[in-house]
Amino acid sequence: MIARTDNTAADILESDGGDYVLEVRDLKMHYPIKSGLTQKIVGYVRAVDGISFKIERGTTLALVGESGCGKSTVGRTLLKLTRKTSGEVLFNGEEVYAYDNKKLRSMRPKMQIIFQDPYSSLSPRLPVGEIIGEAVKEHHIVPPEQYEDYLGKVMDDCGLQSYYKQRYPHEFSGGQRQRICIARAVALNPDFIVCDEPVSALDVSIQAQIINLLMDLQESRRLTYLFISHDLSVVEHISDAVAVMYLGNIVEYGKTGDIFANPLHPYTKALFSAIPLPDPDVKTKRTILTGSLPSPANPPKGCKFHTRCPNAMPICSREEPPVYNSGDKGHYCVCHLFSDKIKEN
Amino acid sequence: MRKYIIRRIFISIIILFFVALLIYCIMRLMPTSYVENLARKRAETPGSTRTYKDWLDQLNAVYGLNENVATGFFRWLGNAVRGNFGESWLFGISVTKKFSQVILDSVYLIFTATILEYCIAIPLGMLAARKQYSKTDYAVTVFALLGISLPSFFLATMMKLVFSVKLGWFDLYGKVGRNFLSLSPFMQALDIAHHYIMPILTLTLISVGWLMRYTRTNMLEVLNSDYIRTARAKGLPESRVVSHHAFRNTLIPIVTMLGGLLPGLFSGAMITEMLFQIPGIGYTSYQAIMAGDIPFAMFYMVFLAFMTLIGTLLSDILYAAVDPRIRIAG
Repeated sequence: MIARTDNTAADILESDGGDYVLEVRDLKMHYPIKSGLTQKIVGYVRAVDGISFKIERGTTLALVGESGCGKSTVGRTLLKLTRKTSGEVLFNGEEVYAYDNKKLRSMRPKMQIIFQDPYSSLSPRLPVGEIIGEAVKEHHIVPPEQYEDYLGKVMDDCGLQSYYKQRYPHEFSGGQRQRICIARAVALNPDFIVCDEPVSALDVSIQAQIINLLMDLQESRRLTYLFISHDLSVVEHISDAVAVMYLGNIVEYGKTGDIFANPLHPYTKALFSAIPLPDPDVKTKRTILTGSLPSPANPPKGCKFHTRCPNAMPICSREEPPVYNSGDKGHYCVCHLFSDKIKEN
Repeated sequence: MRKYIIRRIFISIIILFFVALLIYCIMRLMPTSYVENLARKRAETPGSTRTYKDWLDQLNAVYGLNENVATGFFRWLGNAVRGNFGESWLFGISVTKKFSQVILDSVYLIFTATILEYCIAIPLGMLAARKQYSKTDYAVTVFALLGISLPSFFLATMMKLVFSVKLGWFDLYGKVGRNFLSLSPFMQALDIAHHYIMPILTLTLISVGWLMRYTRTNMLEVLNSDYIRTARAKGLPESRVVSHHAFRNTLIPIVTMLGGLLPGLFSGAMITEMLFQIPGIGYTSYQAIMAGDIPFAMFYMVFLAFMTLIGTLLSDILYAAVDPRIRIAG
């Protein structure tokens, strides 16, 4: 297993002199399972089991996968909201986990997060102006005399009227609440934002508005996003690169265009076949995955996907799959199907 | 808001009427009757010429128990709305006078115990939540469960054994010391306070547990919410995350319980007052009810019902005051 993840890391993170906001090497997050009176550790939930990727400044990497595959844990671990088990998280070239508390706190504004549920992520007791501006004051983002103007401008950029400042979150709809969450994050002038399924809780017309707002902000402020989602049509629209996660690992990684034009991994293919097409006459050939996601506390041996894979071979349950680099630059797939091609090279 | 309060007050009056009716019926149906006991005692007095039956008839007429329940109730109600609650049969003085004599002792006792309870339970509950599943958390939980499980009579007796018998720090019971009358007013106040320490401690220890657990549960729920994660991600200092974001939201359910404390303040602590011989309302009402003293029991119960209604109304208003999501309509 270690050999494979190292391999992925080496391939994906080859130095090409690009300007990367975030580089992640072999990140693992294992939650201990405690049991009994003495709370002895009896095992680990391998929520994130060795993943590597990097995100170029001003671009968006989408992290896709089904529920429970560890996407959200990745987002939280990057921001040190939960502790990693091992691996490296380099933010602007510096290891996030090497910061002491004071330095971490002063770095926090540079890395922000937007959560899925705009209802639970806003404190119900604080007015909107304070939710957005509290940390602006705390970190002296602007001089005090410019504070009100700055707040008004940020709110305006995010499509919020500045007189909303005195109102409380419960007075807003889901879409407006998500705008507040975005304004809150953007107000701190971050380099990098983790968008943890920011539109999943919204209805489709609002989704489009929020996605466009995120893209406008990215352009005007040169933001870098890690966009966590399970909605592939949204991902295709917003992201520059895609990483497909399955049970704590990245199984396919590449530029959005390459992956959507030429998905390699059977899991990616199955995901894509589930995208509904807006034409009732087109018969899609769906690949239906049987069974459910295996427990990350006790993942299958060999390739973790072999229990549900339509192309499973005897070797898949025995050996970890190798990393295959398709002809496209930076398009990787971790699967035994391509073992022969690797040998040919 | 004002319309809502007025409507609630109207409903309260109707509820109060039925509560009073119910209590009156129960009091009349109780197996102990003050009049029966008195008649029996008089008939058995040596030299009594009249029989128990004669005495009963005469006393029933005197105490107004020869009327049926409905007539008796409306007579009581008629007097009560004019502020006349009658004379206590057991104590021989007006009900309100007896009540005002004993209520302050209970209020001091319970008020102090409640303040202490909140001051101890809320910080402990928050501490336990912030260090969930740590040794601190378990220690606090054991302490809380001990408090919840120990009956007050056992705890009070053990405290008496340790602090009165062994250490001799406090008197075993009583509200004042033996030499109370010879003390200056200031020393008299200190003497009473000294005698209150053990009852207050008992009341606090037995009640602190549930509030601490309640605070812990609420705090945990808040600490695991996304907006706390957001507050941390904003780079706020941990102290501000806890005090500004977490504590405020934890307070909502706790503050609304304050209204519920109002009747508790006046109901007295029957067992603790008896154990320490504090002549408060708990002790007095126990005596009155056991003796079948209808006027006193009626006043006490209806007063508590009144306080409960005020308390719930207060709770609702407090809820709207502390939680911006709630606006009372109408």
